[in-house]
Amino acid sequence: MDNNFGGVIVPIDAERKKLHRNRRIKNDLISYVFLLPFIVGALVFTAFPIVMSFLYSFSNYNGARATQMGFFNYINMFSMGRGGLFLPVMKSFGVTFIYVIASTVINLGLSYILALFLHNKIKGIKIIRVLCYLPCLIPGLASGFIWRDVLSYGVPTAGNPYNGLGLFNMWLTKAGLPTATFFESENTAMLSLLFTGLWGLGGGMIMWLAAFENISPEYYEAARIDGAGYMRCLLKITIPLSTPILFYNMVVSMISGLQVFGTFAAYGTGKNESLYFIAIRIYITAFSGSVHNHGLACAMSWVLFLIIGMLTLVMFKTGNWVQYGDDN
Amino acid sequence: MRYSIDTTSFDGGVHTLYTSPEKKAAQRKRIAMLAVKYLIAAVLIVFFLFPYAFMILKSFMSPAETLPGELVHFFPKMFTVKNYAVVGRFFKNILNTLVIIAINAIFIPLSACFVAFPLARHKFTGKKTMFSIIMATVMIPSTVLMVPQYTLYVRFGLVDKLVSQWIGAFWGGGALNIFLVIQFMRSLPKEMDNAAKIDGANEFQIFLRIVFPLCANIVILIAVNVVIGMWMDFQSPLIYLNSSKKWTVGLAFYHYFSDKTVASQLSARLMAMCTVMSLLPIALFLTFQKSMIGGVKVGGIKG
Amino acid sequence: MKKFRKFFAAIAASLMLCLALTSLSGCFYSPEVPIDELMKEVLSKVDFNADTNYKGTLKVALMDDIASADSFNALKTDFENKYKNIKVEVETFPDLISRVVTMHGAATTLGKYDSMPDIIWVANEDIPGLVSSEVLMPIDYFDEADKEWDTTDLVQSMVQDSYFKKHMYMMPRDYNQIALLYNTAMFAEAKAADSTIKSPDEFKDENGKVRAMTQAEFTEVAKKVQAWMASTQKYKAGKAVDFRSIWGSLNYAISRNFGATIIDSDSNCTLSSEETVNMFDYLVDMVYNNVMTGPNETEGFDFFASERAAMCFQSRACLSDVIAKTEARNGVYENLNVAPMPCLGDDDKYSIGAGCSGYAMYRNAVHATEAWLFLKNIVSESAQEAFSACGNGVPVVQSLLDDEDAAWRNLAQVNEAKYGKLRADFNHDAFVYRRDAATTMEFKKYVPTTIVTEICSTVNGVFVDLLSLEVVVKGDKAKTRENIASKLNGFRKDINSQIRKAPLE
Repeated sequence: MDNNFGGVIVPIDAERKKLHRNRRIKNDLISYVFLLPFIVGALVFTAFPIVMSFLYSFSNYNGARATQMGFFNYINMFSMGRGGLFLPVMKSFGVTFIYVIASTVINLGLSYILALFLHNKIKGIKIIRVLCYLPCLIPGLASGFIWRDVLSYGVPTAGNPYNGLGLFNMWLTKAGLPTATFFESENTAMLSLLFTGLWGLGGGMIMWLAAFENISPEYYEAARIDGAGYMRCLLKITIPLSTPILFYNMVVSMISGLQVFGTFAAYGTGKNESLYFIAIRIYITAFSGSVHNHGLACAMSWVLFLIIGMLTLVMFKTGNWVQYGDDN
Repeated sequence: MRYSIDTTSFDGGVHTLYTSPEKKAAQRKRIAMLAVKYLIAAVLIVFFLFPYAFMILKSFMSPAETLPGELVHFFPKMFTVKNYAVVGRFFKNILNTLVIIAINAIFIPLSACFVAFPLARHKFTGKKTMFSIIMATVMIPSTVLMVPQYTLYVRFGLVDKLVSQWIGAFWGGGALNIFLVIQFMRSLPKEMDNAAKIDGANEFQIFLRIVFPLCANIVILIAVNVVIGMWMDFQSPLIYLNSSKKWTVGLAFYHYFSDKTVASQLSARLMAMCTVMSLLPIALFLTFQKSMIGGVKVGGIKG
Repeated sequence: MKKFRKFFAAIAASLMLCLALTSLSGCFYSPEVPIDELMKEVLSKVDFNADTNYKGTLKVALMDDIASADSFNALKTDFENKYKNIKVEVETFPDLISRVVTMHGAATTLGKYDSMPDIIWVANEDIPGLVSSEVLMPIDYFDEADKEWDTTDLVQSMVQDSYFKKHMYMMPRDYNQIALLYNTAMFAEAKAADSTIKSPDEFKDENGKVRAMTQAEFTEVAKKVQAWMASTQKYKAGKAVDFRSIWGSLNYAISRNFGATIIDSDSNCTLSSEETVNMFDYLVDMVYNNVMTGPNETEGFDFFASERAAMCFQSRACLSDVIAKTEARNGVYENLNVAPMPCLGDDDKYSIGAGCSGYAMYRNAVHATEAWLFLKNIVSESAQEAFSACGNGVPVVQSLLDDEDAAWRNLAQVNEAKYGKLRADFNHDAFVYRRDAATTMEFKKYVPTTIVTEICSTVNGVFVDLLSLEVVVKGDKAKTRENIASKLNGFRKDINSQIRKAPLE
């Protein structure tokens, strides 16, 4: 579009547009150079493996070669009859989901209450907070072994009533209560695992404390002027404004919970496969024993992936209860 | 400005000089509530710390006390420091682990800042797409990648090499870290950028000389998180590190203590090793406490 | 613009898919090649005329425990003495079998087998899985091609044990029969306290040689010893018999003693049979009354080595471990003696568990010639003598078994450093007692080959579960037996369904 100044045709706009476009391209290029590590990483280490995994899931790849291609892995996973893995795999998924939901609820809920309590100005509160957080710093691997020792259980024999009892069971016996089977029985293994998770509340607590600090004090001032007491402030201000972090942490917690693997070190797959999380099952299928079944492991991974995808979608779609503050 | 809900008094903490009977009652109530608070805090501390107190105490028990069949007791009857000698067995593994976490702790925050820079400060075409792609990678659990990544690493010839443990540090460090840095960078002032641009600096120089040095806090937060997270990580080393010379300390720990009879008969050594292994994360946390908690505040807002 | 973006995304995704397809399908899918053809190629590269000057290298992969290292070192030294120009390199792994399969996958993907071991230690249970993962070399082809060597000198039951699906995959290294180790000093003390206690070497046959105790005799001795131990301060935390309940060979032999078969020749699980219930009735009773150790309490000799048990069921393979564990406490070593495995069921069904471990060749071994030389050497007389001088095994070469001067019968002279303190009357015969009654785990033959390993571990799990004593109702033997029967019924159904669900071959 030329600019017609009294008969002289000056193609200023076109040139300017070209200049602008060139500069924009140059700027974009520079931005993308910065983004290059992520793009390369995502393509090579994330996208490509996922596609490969999809392909492997249709074969009987055993780490060295595949001799058959077909849908058999998926059929195997979903068939309950002959050759069916449906029940064991569903049990693994079930165990994993129960653990994720229970531990997320317990962790986010109880650490919230803990944070409310420690959101205080009494003297020494900082030290108390640090002490409550310290258990989170013990490496998970070590922690698993420690708890295995503390919660150990054994059946009493005729000559040894304290056979195999750990610290907790010893206290229970001394108090005259029956001993608890903790990790030695499939019924109580999951509960014991969740119980040991209580010591990780410190992490959530720190996050909530930070969240409380970020709630603008004007809300509280206004509420106070209106004569609101503690509970009202809590219910109407603190909790609603915590929901964005709650949502974010629920999603992150769910996704990381579905990858639980560390319990394998101390507890293996649990008594009668009661702690046989899906990540552990995928690992054992693909890397353990004398027959390695990468194809089946990839099929299980894809089913897990689809389930996570659906769950995240559902969570985002129904996330209307999340109340963001003034931005977003 | 911090503002906390003062629950100790009905008058919002306003003190007057009058000591009327109502005020005396209110003061007594405050003191009682304070005592209750400290009591609950004490209970909490005991609850959180006693298993780990047990760990430390048990590490000082002599092996005869900890044999299966002996009644478990809390305080060592025969104090000994010999159990700590077991750390010597893991010396090479600790070295391996230090190499791995050093490389990871340096390059993960560095690459996260590098990648987050344009996302926080620039406008470019496809910014929204980029954001949604990064969001999408959050949804991909490492479990899904575990098996095919193994074959990929085999093709690259990385199996049974320590390289396999730190090769992933250069690609931005994961979506969550990148978002953390974006939040942080957004709060940095932009004037210095513009001043530098006028002076003729290009984007790389701006990043290197101006923005990156200001990210010290978040870099420390991410680095410390990386170290604490990878210190005894054992899933990835379990898959890739075959020979015992290359094991990390987490993997060596697992192989040595997972045998149930070793664990039950040498549980004092187990506890000694656990205590030693906990020292690094605790030391790091106590040193960098301020930066870490500051980082959590910034990062945890919306995500 | 939105359409463009989606279009680009779709293009990118399909490009990736194509890339992945092309780079992978060529590499990871390959149809089966019949084994005869493969072996022809392998054999063509092997030098069967290699003499003692042959120059080469040999890589070996072993488990990482002391006994494995000891045994292997004896074989290695003998080999290196004969083949002075072959260098032997050893690497150890705590999870040997899984690692080797993983490494095999990696090596095959890259096409380079240089870093793979040529020789792998294997136990009998691992062979089926490893064969289906194509990790093991069928060495019967080598046997046939090598005109100067065959397996006739070896104990044939062990050679059979090394076969799987018509091919031989392992060179047996030893003949391992379970026997009863006992502590003579503890028995002497027990006798002093209760003169009716007879030590195992007092049960003799008509030729004056020590024989196996009957179930009644053994139970009486064990219970009396337990009663005596419980009454002393020193031994009251222990049990009379150190019994490792996850040992398949031992368990299967005991069940054969009772007439139980676990899985019969029609591939039906017989765990709920009367005989099996009898066996578990007996075992549970022994464990509950502290006469035998419970599951996961012991590796099979810790109690015995630390003088917390007077007897243990063990094979020769653990001898050096037992001695190593006792040196610290100065307990068992000089008082160690051995008697034949008692008959724990019906006398006419006497069975002793036997098995072997050995070394296998890797399917794609780079140094196949050296590997075959090594495998042959394992069963040569000098190597077998050297190996058995370690104490860790009875030779698999038949001529040495009855030879009074063989190294394995004269440990104190042959290996004074380690076994100098062994008793003069140490009864080596107990390790080859009634070789005709030796039984390997027969039920493996009746189970689909793809799940052999799983079934074995399920069966072990049955023992562990029942012996954890949850079935016991204190003071009510009938109810306990009922519980045992119902649990066994449940396990029987599980195993039957495992067998039915096995993937078709």
